[in-house]
Amino acid sequence: MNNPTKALGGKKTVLTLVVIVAVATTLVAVAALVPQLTQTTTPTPTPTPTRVVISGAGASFLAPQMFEWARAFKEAKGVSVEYQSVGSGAGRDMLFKKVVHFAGSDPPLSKDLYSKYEGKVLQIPVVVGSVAVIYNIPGLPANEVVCLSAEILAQIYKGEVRYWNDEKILALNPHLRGTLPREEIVAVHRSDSSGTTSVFTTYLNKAAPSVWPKDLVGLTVDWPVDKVGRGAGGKGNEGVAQAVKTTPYSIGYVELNYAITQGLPTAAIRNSAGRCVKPTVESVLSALSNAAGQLPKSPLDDWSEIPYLVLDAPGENSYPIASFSYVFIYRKYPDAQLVQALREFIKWVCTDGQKLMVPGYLPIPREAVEVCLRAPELIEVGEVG
Amino acid sequence: MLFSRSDKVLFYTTLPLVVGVVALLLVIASLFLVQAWPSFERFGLGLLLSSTWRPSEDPLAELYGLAPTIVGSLYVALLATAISIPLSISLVLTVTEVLPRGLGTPLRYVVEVMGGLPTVVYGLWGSSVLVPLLRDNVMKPLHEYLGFIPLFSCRPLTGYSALAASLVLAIASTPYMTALLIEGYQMVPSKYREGAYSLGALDYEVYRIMLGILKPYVVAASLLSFSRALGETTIVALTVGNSMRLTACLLDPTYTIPSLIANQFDSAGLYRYALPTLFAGALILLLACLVASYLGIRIVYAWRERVHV
Repeated sequence: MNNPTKALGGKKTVLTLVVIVAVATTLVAVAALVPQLTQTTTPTPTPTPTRVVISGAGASFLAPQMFEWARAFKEAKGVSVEYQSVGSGAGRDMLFKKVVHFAGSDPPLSKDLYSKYEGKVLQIPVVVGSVAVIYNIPGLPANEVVCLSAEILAQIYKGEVRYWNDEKILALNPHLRGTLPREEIVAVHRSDSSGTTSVFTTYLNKAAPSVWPKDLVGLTVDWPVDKVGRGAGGKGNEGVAQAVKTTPYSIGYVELNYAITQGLPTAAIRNSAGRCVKPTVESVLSALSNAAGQLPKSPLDDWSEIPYLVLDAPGENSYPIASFSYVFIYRKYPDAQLVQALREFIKWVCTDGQKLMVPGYLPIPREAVEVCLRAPELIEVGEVG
Repeated sequence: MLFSRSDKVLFYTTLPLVVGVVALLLVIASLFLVQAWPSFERFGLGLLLSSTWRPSEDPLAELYGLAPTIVGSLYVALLATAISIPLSISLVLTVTEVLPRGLGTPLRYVVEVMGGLPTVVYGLWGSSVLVPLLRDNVMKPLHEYLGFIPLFSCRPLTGYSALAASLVLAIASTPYMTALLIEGYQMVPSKYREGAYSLGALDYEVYRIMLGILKPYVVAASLLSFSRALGETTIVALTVGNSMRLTACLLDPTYTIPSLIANQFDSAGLYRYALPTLFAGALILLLACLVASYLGIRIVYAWRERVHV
């Protein structure tokens, strides 16, 4: 160091330069990001028709099917569809805040929300889901199926039916007397808020109202079985399946597609005709087509009672736990090209799209297709909302 | 204060960034407060003292109490930190003193790399491998033989529990704490070590003296690590069991604030008070982390000044 002052001065210049460069880079980055941000947060599509991008967000259950549709639709019509799997609640929130063009949702709009958005938002059933009850009973032969009823399930999740060899379970499964062990049942449920829980608890309430009261119905439930120390929560279908797999003598509920793809032992459920039915594509569709006569005729109608209606449906071969998943869209969008793209997409989803189901997802029955096809006619150009 | 032109340029170019960082914290905190206010207003102290998560489409029927998540967060983070302190200290001694440099340095790198692993890796390993193992080999014997102690009085069901979460969390936060401690250990001036050896101290005695000097730094590192553990989401959400129940038993599933937010944020927007309640939780978490980090950093600074006289 011959000349310390000079060296110091040099250092400072370098430092200043670094700082200036850093600030400049930040500014450039921000400047570059802002248009991108505004593009993703406001549904203002670009003018040329080929550049129209339909954006959606919502139910994670819908996501795998929606991705498949987006891929095939892009191939067929050249329009991109983006879907973010953020959950039913967050998805509709984004729709109401006009961040996305459509929302995917497991439950339809509640009565309150429906009256708020009546005539403005279309509710379109696009896919059928079902909930399977899975269990882990060591020592039970793989070819034996346990049959359960809504009352028994409700009592298990309330902590009232405690052992696998409870008389109520044995009465439904006389062939398993002596096979079902005297072991405590661990009831596994979703810990995150979930459409699956909503469907499952609504079913319990509908089919066993005296055991499972209305205030135990919803996306998240204060599980009574937790209070007696025999309940456990798992996050997501994976979490529940994992907990059931690793916990002997446990029971749980997951989306049917998940139970099918993972090959989990699945319970038969006693339906309203008194028969024990395993969840299969046929048995779920049979239930839905028996309930389909009561569906609303238009996407503009109130769908809030439908989840309740389609559960525990009549029919010898009906599997009682089934539900629709919906796409919500606004009736009016300011951009003509976007409107055109949305019309095409919806129409395509309820016709060609129904033939492209991902394993475990079920197509909607004919009556629902009719409702779905009414939607494209209702979408028009205008102020959003 | 500002001496030269370049000083001024430096000052004025960095000022907005510095102000921005501080402002961001204030903005986040005040935003949380505004968002959380409806929930505080509606539930009052019950929000902190009761234990319920009952969303409903009828706002009058909604009821929330965050007590289990607040207690659970502190409980799990405390336990995790307590487990990782001895682990980290033995790692520090092994790396810096016991092992020859050729082995110690690579081990140190391995530890540092482990600290950089995404937490979801620990979470998945914990939930799919460690939890069932723990349940069958640790929790069940604990409950069977030591069940008279309230900590182990509950029957382990799935294994997802405060104990499992703390253990995975401890394993995940040990590298961070070890890195902090190694840094501190190397900051201890060599005069202490030299003095001890010149008085004829044995290796073991020297380590004890060094650790004695390091003690405040260990406290500080624990506080920083605790603050990180408090906010850890993925690992805990996958292993803690997520059950809204106030419990002291280690083998019971419980809940933490980050885990509650991760689990419930998706649909919180559907209910009037769910989102404000989650924001209230986030605010509490933010304050707790700030306090722990602040204390930790203050102790480190005080210690640095004292040890270098």
